[in-house]
Amino acid sequence: MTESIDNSTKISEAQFMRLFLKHEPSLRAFSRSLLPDWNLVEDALQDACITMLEKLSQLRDEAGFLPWAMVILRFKCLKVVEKLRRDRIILSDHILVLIADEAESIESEEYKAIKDALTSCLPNFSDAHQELLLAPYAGDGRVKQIAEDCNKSVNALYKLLGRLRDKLAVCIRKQLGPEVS
Amino acid sequence: MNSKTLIHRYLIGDITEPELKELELLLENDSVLRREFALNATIETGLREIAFERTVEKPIPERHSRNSIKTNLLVPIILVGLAASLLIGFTFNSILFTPKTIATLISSENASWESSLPTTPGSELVPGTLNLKSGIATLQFSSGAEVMLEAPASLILLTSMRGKLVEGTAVMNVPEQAVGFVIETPDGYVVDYGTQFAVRVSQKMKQSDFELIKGEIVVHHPQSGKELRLTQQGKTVRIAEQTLVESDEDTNEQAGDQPRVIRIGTRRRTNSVHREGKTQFLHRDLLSVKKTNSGRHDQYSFFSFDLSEANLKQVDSANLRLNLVHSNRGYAARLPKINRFAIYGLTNQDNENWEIGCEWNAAPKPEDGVLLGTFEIPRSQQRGTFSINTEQLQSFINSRPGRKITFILVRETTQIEGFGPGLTHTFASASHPEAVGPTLEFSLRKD
Repeated sequence: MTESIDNSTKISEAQFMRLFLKHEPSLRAFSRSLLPDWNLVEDALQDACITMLEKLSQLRDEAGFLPWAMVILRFKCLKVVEKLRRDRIILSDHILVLIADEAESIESEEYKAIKDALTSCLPNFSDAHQELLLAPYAGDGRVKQIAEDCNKSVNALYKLLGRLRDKLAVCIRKQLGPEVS
Repeated sequence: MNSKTLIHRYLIGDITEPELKELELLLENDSVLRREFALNATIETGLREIAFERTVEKPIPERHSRNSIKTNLLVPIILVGLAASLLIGFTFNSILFTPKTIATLISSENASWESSLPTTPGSELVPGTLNLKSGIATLQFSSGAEVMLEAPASLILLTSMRGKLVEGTAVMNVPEQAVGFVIETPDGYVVDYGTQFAVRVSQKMKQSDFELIKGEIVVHHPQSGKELRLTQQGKTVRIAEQTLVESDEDTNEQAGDQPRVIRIGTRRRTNSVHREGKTQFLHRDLLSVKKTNSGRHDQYSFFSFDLSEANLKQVDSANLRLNLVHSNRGYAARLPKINRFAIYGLTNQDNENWEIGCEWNAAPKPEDGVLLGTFEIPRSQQRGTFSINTEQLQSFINSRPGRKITFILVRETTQIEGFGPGLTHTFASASHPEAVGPTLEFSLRKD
């Protein structure tokens, strides 16, 4: 028996890097829907990237990259969740799989549209509120520091943050139109 | 509690068990809510990205008017412009009160450094101290004077026309436009009159040797007020014990100065560990070293030497040498431009008998020891020899005669934001087929 391999359809490492870079924000958002914190997200992405490189020969064309990458990433994320269950409050596997199905449908173009909407919605908030909206991602303890600076409790700030996030989501929905939201 | 609040509380990690049950029930029966959940995770990702972009663009906290798009764009442009002018040493330097560049690092051959100044070739240097731990480096002062430093050496950059060699060897090449260039040593100083000369400083021996290679120099001894002018090629002057002595002898050839060297290896007692026990990332031929922000992919190495292999009664100095070898694990682009490594000496005796092949939990850790020294590797470099020869290393060795000693090698710097896994640095272990493994090198005084 002979087996023919069509090298012309293979994706090179350079192509892979370009594709990964292009879709990395979508992959990150996908992981975030399954994992409870950013450190875990970055680790899962890193693990998945190594696996993708190892299995690169399976990828037939560029168009198939994102679904293929999400399958690998989904597996990595669920594996991480398995280890977390003892110590963390986390959604059941059944629900996470349902969410993964939804999250998979958010493609890179949609991520870009959401990011653009965010960029135009943020200036609608005061400087202080913008700072608070971005504080959870600005390094450890930033929310706590803001709470100390303005003499409020961290809990009160998280409540305010929740309200601001709702307001932001409304603005984003308006920007995106019904077909996305 | 409404479903959106529950999603928000879950994503920020602030949800209780009963709330989680409530959320699960809602999500299971409502595909629109699941979509909402996924969109919220996407918004989180976008917000995080914007937060990161703003950190990069706005290092100086300031207030903008809400709708001032022009201002938002101008700030990064201005900052980039300023950064560029600083890099090329433009006259803004004095306006911004930043120290002026007085020299440039021209080249670096297998050099490892311990320095607060930048140490990558092409770096512009402000006044400060350069400690070259291994290899050879060439610097050019703005005056045109060129110095080739041979490790181990310590040079203080004072002005574009003045430097101080505190320890080690430097060969100076001073062109016409830099006539009058001064090199100080702890014992005296030399004024150059268009020439090539070498300076060797030994703090231990409390002496400085000046040798004329070509041209003319004047060596000054401030304590005695004496000075000697050298015009003949090969002439040397030594300042030692507060005297200034001229000699025809080549100081390099004097037998008394030639240290005897003993080298010992690890005899394959090396090991690397991965925090999560992923042994597929480790190889016996390599010492793997990696640090990540989350710590999950951290790797570090340790190795031991048997000091009973050498009679170390007359140790003058000790040098721990490692060979960096090419790594194909991860991307250097995910690393900061300069990566700092630390070597610890194991002091906790409970961990001295570690086994080859042991895993993370059983491995000796930095906190089981004392810091002996650090060295830096640019992310662009994947080969080369790196070493430490600090006083802490020597005293660690001196206090353990005839014993087995363990060193722990870790990377102190982590990764930067970017694509793919960060590079794992790999050094040769004793079983590496091409490069020499960790080596302890002792210079012994000849009595």
